[in-house]
Amino acid sequence: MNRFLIDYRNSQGTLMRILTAVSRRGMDFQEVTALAQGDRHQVRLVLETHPKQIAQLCRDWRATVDVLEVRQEA
Amino acid sequence: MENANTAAHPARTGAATVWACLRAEGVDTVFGYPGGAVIPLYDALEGSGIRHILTRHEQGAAFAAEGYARSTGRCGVAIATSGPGATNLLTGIADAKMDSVPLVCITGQVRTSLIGTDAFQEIDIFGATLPMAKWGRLVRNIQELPDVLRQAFHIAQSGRPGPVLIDIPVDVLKASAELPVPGRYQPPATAHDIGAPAFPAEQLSALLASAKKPVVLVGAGVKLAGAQLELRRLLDRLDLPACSTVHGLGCISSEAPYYLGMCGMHGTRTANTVLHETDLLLVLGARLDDRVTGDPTRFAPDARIVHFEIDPSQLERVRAGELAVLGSLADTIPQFAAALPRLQRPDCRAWRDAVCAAAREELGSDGGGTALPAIRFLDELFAMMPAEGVVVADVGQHQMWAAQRYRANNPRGFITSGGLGAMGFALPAALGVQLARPEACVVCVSGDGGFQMNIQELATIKRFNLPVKILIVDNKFLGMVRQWQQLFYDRNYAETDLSDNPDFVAIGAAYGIQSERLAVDATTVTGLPARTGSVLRHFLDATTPQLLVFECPPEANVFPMVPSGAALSEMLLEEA
Repeated sequence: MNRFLIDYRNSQGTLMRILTAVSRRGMDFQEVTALAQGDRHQVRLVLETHPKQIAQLCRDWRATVDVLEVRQEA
Repeated sequence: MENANTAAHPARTGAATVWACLRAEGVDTVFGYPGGAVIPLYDALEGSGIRHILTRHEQGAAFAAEGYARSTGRCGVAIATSGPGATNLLTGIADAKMDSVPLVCITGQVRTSLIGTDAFQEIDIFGATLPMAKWGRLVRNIQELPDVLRQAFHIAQSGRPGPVLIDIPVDVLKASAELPVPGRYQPPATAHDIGAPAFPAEQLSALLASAKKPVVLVGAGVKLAGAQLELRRLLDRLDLPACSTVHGLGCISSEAPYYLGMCGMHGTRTANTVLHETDLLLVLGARLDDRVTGDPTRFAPDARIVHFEIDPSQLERVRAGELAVLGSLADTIPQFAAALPRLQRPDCRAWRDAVCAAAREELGSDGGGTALPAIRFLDELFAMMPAEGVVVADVGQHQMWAAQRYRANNPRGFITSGGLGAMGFALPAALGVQLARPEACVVCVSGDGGFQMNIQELATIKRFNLPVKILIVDNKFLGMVRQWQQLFYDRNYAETDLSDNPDFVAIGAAYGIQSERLAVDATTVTGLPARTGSVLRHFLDATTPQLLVFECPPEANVFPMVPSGAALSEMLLEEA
């Protein structure tokens, strides 16, 4: 399992764009938790991915308007 | 947000605010189709100072707006009503996303109180566009309308350009408020904004020094950055072999001695061979999709890749690179040029001279006696076109023949739907190009299949008397699919036969467009009728819309061809 923390501005559709980057690859979500964190929002995703997909996902998320930071949890 | 004027403002409706904001963004032309949810918008159109082009289908509006944007680099604007009007925009939005075209789509929505009730002509177009639009907003009240519009234009045109969607409920269009004069949008900073990292001259120098077969691959990023002149100067100094993707055509001078032609599925033999053999690949603004790479696991197998790219999401999408140079090519190409005196240069003269000589021979060949009539015809047409003409190609065999044969002199001289490959693109896109560039000779090259997908736009062309030159390469088949069926499915031509096509000349005439037909003539050496030259002269010189049907044999194929899933080195050069 891979765990990702994504900080984003809670504008319309940003969370959905983060999620469609996953669903367009036919991957299943093991866990999705989205919460307000101060002046921004954060979503925690748990996914089963292979290394190439991890890099692709992170790049897609970083290219999404209003995504602020993408981190992978150990 | 900066608002230049914070004094009291006259009350304006949401509809009037939309037009005012479009004017403030420099928009002079929009493409659209009215319907119930956008009647207030159209009611406020008169006096807005904006020209509205009524297309005959919303997909036509999206593609026309794309043509306008692709030919100018400015934002295209398309308008549609809620429900089916909005869904008809989707193919255009997807196309703009794939090909990085700045496009602002404005849709009407049912009134706010009805949203979510499955009201008449209600569809969640905001949700539907999430996977394909770069950004979008469902406007909730009139107060946020100016900010949303300004943000939309900024996002559509900044970074890697793309489509955005603004969905406006009809009650927001009808509402009235005292709103400020639009100011300049200031985007909030993000942690991953592209800054100006130092140019990695040392790493690049080391890579160049050890290269024996270096090659440059140029994509659409160069024209999107407006960096074609800087590119040409750089390439002249680098003097390395260089090839182009379909969207990079025209960035490199076709006369340049180092130009190898187009690469990819229907690229030149030389370009594809060199890409397969290279040990150092400098990619300038290309995202390396599968039509360029063939099997990505076997693309440039011995190469280290240096990727100049504005969009970090495109780096290493299909192949790991040795070095990434992130940023607009408008910045990084001049940085590359400035660093050149300090860079070590590869020792590859003998190899370079050999591949460039092979390319000159290949690109200069007219195919001799084996050239297809369609190619001969396109060659004659293109030779007669003015240098600053624009070819707008649809999708299919004619598209690839045109890409192979047209020698675009500028990067916005060849326009086509490359990433999405949307049949029906060319006719509406060509009318958008002609409106943006009224002085230009605009030639729409379509097939008999794609032409019928947006045939209704003949009415738009006629209404505005746009002198678009429409060529239909009519082989009475869905030619590219048929080619695949011939080569890979044992000639099982399932559902690709269009032998019952309508009379296109009669259709053109019915729309009031001067129309003409030419057919292959087996009695001539070239296969072209003797009057071809005079027909083409009239076709190109006309100041009114023209339709020309060129009937050609059905079983003609596009070569070279890299079969889907094969490596570039496995291209087919001719019929087996």
